[in-house]
Amino acid sequence: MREKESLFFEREGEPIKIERITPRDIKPRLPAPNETVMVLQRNAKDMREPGDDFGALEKEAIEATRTEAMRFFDTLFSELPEDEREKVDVMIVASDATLLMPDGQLCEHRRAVETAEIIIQALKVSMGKFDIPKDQFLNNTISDGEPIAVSELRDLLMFEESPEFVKYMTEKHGTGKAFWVAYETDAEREKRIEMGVEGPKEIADRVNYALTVRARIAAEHHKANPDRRLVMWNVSHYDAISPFIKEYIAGVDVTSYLPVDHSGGITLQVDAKGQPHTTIQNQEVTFKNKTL
Amino acid sequence: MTKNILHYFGYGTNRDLDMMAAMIGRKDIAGEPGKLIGYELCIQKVEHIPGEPLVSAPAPLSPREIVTKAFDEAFELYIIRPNANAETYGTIWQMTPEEYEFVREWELLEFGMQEDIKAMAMDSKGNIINVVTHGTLSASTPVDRCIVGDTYEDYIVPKKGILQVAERVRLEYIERMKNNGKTKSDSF
Repeated sequence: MREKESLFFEREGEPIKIERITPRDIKPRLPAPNETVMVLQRNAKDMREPGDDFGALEKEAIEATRTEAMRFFDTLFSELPEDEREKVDVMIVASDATLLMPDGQLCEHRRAVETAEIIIQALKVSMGKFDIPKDQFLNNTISDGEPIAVSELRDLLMFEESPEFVKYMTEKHGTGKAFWVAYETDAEREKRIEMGVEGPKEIADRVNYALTVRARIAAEHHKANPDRRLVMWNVSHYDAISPFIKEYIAGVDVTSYLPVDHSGGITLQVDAKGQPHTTIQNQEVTFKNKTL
Repeated sequence: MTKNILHYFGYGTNRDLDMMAAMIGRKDIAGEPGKLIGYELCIQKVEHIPGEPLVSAPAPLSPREIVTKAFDEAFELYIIRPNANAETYGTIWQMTPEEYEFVREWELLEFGMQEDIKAMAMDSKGNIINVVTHGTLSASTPVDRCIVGDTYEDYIVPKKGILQVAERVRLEYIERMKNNGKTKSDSF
């Protein structure tokens, strides 16, 4: 499907063992000059009970997410020498998805964008603590200070693009847990392919595509702003992040089960030469040498 | 950017001021050249345009039926689709959410011809800008051919004809909204 393009985060070597991804797997790693640190995070927990608050973030989740984000930025900025504090830029990006459920329930809450708003609140407090100039929060000029909403980090495209497949799945598996298990394990692979619907592997590719685009933008930023450090925080969803980590970080079967907790995620790094690298749960991930 | 102004990335014919003026009804639109990183610019023929009506469409018509009726079987359409190594050149326009509804109407987004996309564009000075645009998020969407670079033809159907149709669509939309007493701008 994507044979013409080159995806940036392509691992090599033996698979690594990851049983669960939690918020503590988002490691506060300070980028060196001309380097980029990318966070890929799952949205905070939202409410699923019917009612006015359906799809809104839970209060406890907001607090926990803010605390963890503050820990991240406090650690990062505290490691910066004082004379380097004017040389770090931060960008907060989020999926623009609204919540759609197999039973047809929907709401206008955008849980990744709302999670990113919490991250921004924490970032601003931390920037204040460490005297980081406000204009280094790049969203101020890119998106009026709000999360940068992008469509590539959406969760499942099938709800909008393939209602016939969703109907087929709900008729066969219901609208509860069995639906999600069937989708994640690609139990209806033949039907899915016949109907041209995005599956777990294609979602992993789409997230890799989104991060590749982000890496290209980071490269352009570094080219225009030499010797600066860049942090790009990306908020997406379970259905997007889990397949990506399985396929491109752990190197395991994309239809296996890898839990990613709400507000959990990983940190990826791109060095000054444009080479990606990271360590997840004390295991080094080796990526193929790619040119952007 | 103020809250009531959005940045629309116009590509293909929509990077041209005459086309935008016909579509949204004013000529003094601020815009500057830009590029959308990670999307390739392609051209669809009529047979590539969705031929089934969407259940949620405002009328039981497919995008293919609508464009064939308005133009002819030789109609061609610009579209962007994901490609990590590509970029699409166009114009970053500033407009109100209400004006962007004219663009959505013209591009038949409610009928499923393309879908809403939010992305990051870069202007000619290298500034990154969060933009709204339209296209497909599926890399496997069928197309006839793709274009590399910024020197492509803005108009792939006769200019005079498409501007006339765009004017007519805008006026019909205004009339329909008057009758409905609302706009759809809240969604942006």
